[in-house]
Amino acid sequence: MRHGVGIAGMWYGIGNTGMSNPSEMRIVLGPDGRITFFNGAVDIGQGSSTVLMQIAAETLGLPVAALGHVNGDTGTTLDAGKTSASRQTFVSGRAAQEAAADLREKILRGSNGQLGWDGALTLDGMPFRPPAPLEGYGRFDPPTVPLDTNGQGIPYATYGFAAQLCALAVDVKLGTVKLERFVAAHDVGRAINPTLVEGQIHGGIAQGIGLALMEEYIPGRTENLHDYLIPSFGDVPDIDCILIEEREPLGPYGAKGVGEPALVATAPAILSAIRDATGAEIHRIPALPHRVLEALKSTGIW
Amino acid sequence: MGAYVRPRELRAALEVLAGRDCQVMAGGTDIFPARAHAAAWGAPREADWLDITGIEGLRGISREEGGWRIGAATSWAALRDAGLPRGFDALREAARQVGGRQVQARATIGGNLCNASPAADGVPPLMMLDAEMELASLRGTRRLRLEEFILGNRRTARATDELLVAIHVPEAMAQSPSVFLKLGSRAHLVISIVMVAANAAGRVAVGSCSEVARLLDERGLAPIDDVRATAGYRHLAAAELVARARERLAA
Repeated sequence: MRHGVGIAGMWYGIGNTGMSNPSEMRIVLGPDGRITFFNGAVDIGQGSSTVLMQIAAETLGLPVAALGHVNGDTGTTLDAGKTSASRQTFVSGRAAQEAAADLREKILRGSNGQLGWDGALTLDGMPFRPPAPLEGYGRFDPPTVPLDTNGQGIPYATYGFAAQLCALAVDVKLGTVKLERFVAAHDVGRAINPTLVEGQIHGGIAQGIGLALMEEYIPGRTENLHDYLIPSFGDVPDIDCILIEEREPLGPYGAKGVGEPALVATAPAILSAIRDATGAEIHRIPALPHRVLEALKSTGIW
Repeated sequence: MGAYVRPRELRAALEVLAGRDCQVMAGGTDIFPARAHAAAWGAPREADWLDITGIEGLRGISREEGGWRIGAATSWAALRDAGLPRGFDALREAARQVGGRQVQARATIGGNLCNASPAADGVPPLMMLDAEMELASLRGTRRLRLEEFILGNRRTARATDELLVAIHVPEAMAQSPSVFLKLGSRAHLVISIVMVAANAAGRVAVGSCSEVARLLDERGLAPIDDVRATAGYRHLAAAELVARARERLAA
């Protein structure tokens, strides 16, 4: 067994590249006193609904429990754009913030400015139900400049930055790789929900491990999950997350995305660690045992 | 799907098999995915199913004259958790590594052998144990050594009217300390690149390196290139795992 450490840094654009990709959100206070967040950003398990609710509630100055939630209903929710490009916290989060600020302003108009919650909405200490629905609307489209024929422009309004460090051991007789530890430092602008950010990083690293060590799509041959391997829990070592909160001025409360950035640095960190451990350079992924062993042999050391 | 029968008695099962072509099933962990895949590609009407898990005598591990008897429908989980002499350590280690806990609970040792995959986890340990297969039909019973039972990739010597009812392990092998090493590209739930079962009696069986697992002898191995590894790698890795298995037995 030879031990090694590898580190990789990355930056990655948040939002679609050099094109308009707006998100629109609406939050409605009905005559029954209920507030409903109409959210068209589809949560695919990463937790965008939780984060967007937190942003909306924080901006309204109310607990999350004060908000009802309608998600992804084309009859009532507006277009939030795709859940892709690491953009929902940054783009839809900002739209949710704008919508909540708009609704708060409409509620407070003509009051002494004391919005509260005692199980029901209160205004200046009294129960509050508007005579007609009040609607807050928010829209955010990250400012970009399309790329010209020379590829020049401003493709992204903001970027995620990260570095990941991997410690591993290589069995130099078998070419197998045992991951021992990851340390992942990610600039997320602001962690609206640190547990979810760490979840995204853990998931991204698991995917990066698959990319580096086992996932290989060969049409007609690895079209099932016993030939196309994805990491099991036994393949993912302990991960220490370091959240860097360098506020992004455009983002809601300074936040930006982490979805894809979580995966970008993982494979290069692993391959660097293999080289650090053994001198072997891997030029084709996944680094299956037979490829690692071949690379080990080609160093002349092993 | 075809008809489904689940008899309680061995004789009733053998009568079904004598009468018509049936897919024998126990845990179903190999044949259900295979069937689903075939159906997805428009396979014609399926054969009838004969579920043998209702037959009490096909399950469990017991002592017998001269050795041990493992019922063909004994689950991997039962093997994994059984208190057995050290000769079975290799088989029990294979039981710990095959599939996940759910698969171990359902899948059976007999199914693993009848499925006859080149990468079947049960074959190297049982080959090392010099196991015999007991086959029954209305015509009577017969015994085959494991090497005679598995003929090739997905091919066995079982006649269509026969059922694998038990696996017999001689006492001398059951008492000989053993180890099992499995190499794959991930930690769990993996089809192996190479497997080695070895015991202190000097028997070494290597799996996934030929169409049927082999006892190490002058024939050597005959691995192929596939999505998991190259043939050349399998030769090297098998030699390394055999050396490690012997080291561990010597320690």
